Amino acid sequence: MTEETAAPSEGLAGMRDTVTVRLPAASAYLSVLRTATAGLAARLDFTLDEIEDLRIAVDEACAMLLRQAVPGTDLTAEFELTGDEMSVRVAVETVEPQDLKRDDFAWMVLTALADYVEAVTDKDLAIVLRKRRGAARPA
Amino acid sequence: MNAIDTLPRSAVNATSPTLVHLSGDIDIATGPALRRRLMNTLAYSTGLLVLDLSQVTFCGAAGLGLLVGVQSRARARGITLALTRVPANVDRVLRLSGLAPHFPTTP
Repeated sequence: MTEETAAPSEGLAGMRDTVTVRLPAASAYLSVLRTATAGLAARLDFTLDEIEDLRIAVDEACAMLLRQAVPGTDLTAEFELTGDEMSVRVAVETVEPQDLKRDDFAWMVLTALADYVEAVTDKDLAIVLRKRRGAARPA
Repeated sequence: MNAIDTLPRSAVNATSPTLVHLSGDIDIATGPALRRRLMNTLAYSTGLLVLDLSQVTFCGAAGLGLLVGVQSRARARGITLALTRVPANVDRVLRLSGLAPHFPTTP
């Protein structure tokens, strides 16, 4: 998250628009991350419906990742807020990353709610999702 | 998906319901305990088990999976699972997942 981003929206003037949240890679902490997601989305003036979509999308991404997370390690969520878009990269440490299941409810819901979703298998296992404010909303 | 009950809405009022109120977040942390409790509920439910979801503050895919699992088990026992007072956020994920038509709702 070192790349330069577009000038932040007026409400964030002068502030760095990247937020990193690090939590234990355990399901009990997902409610904390959902709350953080909602708070950050509110800063970008997302609608209540869009905020709810983001809350669910981030939760689904994390739920999928936690199946492979090494117990006792952390889950990292990096939020990048630009003018009208939130980008979130959630990542966990794995022993050997396996492809994410794409035929279950979690993936279906995640891809329906976010404008962009990408699974990244690198030294860790990550999902990047993006959502724009005011984009067409699926039914 | 073909194990899912698709009872028409008109049949929902056929028996006196057993009503269960759910509240709070349903996610991968809270789901397993809730699932066990609902499975236990099936042991003494009447033929119609109604889940009141009005106080559910979060429900994602884990919650959907839970509902499908409970419905499947209910069906095996001859119990119909119905939902009532479904909040907008839960209704949304039900529709996005294509599951909405598979869960009868009562007013």
